[in-house]
Amino acid sequence: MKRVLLSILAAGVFVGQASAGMYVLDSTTAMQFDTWAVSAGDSGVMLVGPTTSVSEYTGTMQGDVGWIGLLMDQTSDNLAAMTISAGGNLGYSGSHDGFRAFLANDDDDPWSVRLFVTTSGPGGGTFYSDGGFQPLAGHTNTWLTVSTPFSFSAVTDFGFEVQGVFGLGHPSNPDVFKISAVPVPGAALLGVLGLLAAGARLRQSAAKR
Amino acid sequence: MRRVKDRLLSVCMVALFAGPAFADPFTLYKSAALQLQQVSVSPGDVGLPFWVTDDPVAYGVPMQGVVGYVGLLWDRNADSYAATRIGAAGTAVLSDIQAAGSYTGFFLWVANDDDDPWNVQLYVEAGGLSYVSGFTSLMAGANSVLSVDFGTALDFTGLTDIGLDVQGHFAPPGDHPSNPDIFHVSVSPVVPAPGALALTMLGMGLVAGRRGRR
Repeated sequence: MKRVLLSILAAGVFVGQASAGMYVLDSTTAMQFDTWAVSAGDSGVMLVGPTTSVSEYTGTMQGDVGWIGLLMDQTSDNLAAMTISAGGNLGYSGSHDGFRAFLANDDDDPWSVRLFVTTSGPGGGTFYSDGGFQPLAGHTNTWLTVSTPFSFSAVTDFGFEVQGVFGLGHPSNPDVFKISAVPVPGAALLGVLGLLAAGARLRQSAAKR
Repeated sequence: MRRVKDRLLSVCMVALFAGPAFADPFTLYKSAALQLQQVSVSPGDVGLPFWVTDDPVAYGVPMQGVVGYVGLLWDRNADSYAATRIGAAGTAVLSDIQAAGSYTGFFLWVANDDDDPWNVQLYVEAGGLSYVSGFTSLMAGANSVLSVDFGTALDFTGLTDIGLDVQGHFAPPGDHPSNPDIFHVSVSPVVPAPGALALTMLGMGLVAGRRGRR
């Protein structure tokens, strides 16, 4: 009984995040997101990223891969966005039910995020994560999903966008965002390992008695 | 009684007009403030070149002062601080300030127009000596008159730099500002006290004149 429960728990930890057919962003792919562009008429610059170095990120990183960039609204629409994507780094294959990623706002100000997949050919276009831009308060995170099936053979770009909504005081204009992606596989896995170790120890002491 | 009044008035007028002839504190006028530039960044840290503007639109956020400075500060040596010096060194306006005379201090109205708290201080470098006001923490939207007291009249011909330091304190909890972050700080010249005194006296004179007529 115990073994069955343990097996289910372990399966949940390793399989839980990856629903069948979804392409889930991992660290290797996120490190390929080194192409960036700023919304028309606005200003921006990528300062750091992609990086897995906490010292380079200079602060707490909720995800495994981080980016630091500056955005400034210069069109007076109170918005400025940066697209961070794979660009030319497209060596992927296979068909998927959608694109799913964990994104975290490591900044003190709110920033909005959304995923996108751009495909060519019949039925092609740019498809965004459900609900469009999702506002993330400072130091919060979320899972986003593009629910449109796609084949990497037709994908011309994919990644995510970071948007600042200025005019509400936070962020100020211009301001710096800090966004990280891909959950650090720490907590759940360590918890299971800890339980295993405790179980083994209990078993040992029971056997001695 | 009338004689006493006349004497008191004379003393006031002398104090009002002769005062500035003696050494007063110096304040940075708008055209000079517009010419300040990034002089340095704290060792080991990063500060991206900033822009100076009196245009509220270019400034990006509501500007409380008449001249605004926007810049990026980034603590890279893990001491939780990064600062930049915004000064007159290396600018054309420095020679104008040097020719301004002698002053007992330096004062300036400084506002934090950013959404995060930033620390600010005034500084003066002259004759190999450094004078600072000490850092004042300005919360978002706050402002303050900062001043440096030289103790005695300082001949500005020996001045090598004058301006303000902006410092970010990057430390949890709260994490405001985040590291790195952008500051928005604006300044205004301080209206000299004799001006305020003159206005007060003018007002009092008008009131007295009206009473006299009654």
